[in-house]
Amino acid sequence: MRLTKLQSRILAVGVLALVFTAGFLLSRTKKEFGTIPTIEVSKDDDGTLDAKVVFGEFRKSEVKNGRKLWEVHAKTGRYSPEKGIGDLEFPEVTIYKPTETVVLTADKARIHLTLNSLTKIDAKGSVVAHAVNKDVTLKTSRVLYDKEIDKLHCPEHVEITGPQGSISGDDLEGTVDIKAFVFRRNVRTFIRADARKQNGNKANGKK
Amino acid sequence: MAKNSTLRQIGVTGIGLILLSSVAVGVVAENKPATQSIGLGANFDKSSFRKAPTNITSDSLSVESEKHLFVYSGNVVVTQADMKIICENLEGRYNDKNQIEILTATKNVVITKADTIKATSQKAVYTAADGIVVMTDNPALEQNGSSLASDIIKIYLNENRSEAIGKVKVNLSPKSEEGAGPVPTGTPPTPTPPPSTPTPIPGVIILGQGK
Repeated sequence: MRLTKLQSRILAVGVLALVFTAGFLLSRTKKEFGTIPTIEVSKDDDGTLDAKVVFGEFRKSEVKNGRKLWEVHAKTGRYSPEKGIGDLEFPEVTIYKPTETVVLTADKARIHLTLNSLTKIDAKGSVVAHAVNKDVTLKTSRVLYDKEIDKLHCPEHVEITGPQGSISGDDLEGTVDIKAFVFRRNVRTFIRADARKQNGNKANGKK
Repeated sequence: MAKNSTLRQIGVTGIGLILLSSVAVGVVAENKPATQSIGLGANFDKSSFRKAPTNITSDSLSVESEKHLFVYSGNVVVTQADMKIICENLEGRYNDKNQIEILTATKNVVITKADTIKATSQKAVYTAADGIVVMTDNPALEQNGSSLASDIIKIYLNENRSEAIGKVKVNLSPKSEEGAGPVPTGTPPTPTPPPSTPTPIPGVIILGQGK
């Protein structure tokens, strides 16, 4: 089929508009996957068929206004675009907060995406969350994170260690940067003998 | 996770154990009707206190970094070296430098040192700015069988002294009077109970009835 000159121009303008639109959207929310995926069709518990995209190496991130909000990396991942759910093996989730970067690793994690934005994480196994700037580490067997309300919930035993000591307890709920939190049971706090000295040095500007 | 804010908060709660230092008591002192001075802190080894780690156990813990507040609730036990605070609630507020500004222990507060000195009250408030612990709601101190009770007990941590304010009662056991216990730091009190007070039993001195 041969296009007329006018049709060619319209097509060219259309393509340009498409490219421009795609570029604009990408500049707002950048998404990337790791390796070339394959399709896996499986039956859900309710008997319905679910097509999942299987990644040998799973990578995904979100950038907004030039700032990376989060990124996920896993050895393998199965992602259901229809449900917006990704099941990851040995995931590493990095959450970039304005004043802190939190890196979460686990044996397994289920991530929920809505319009390619991370909304929930359910991490299980040997869960370790490390606040890089403050050098504080949280260890537990399960973490549920709801990004919308910026809260995490650890229903099992939790141990938090940092330069000044440690806190352990059961059933923790708090913000992801732990600026506000509640331990609901069996709280044990250990404060190093030199913690007060550290505080004093910090107050005096010493390291 | 970003627990540092948490840890720095609990880190500074250790300073709250300064409360404990106040209980090294040598009871009794000047005979003033409404205000009694008692020599505190005489037996307290501050160097060992500073070297010891702090342990706090409780049923629950709530932290709000933005407001610089923390609350330990339910069966709270704070231990450091041979000192211990037991209470139902321990609230604290700290400043931008992670230093404690105020600590409040409430409900069945018991502060002990080496199982020989015991302070009890329903409320104990430590204010860092002036270094004073104020014990209210039936405060009492015990050591070597001797005891002191009053409406308010103020402990001046920086000055190694304390005040018992209000209706003061001091019971000295014979053991204490023999020198094993509290040593008066001022003029020995004259045991002249007012008519309304019960007849003193041997070994018990009731000091000025304030108010």
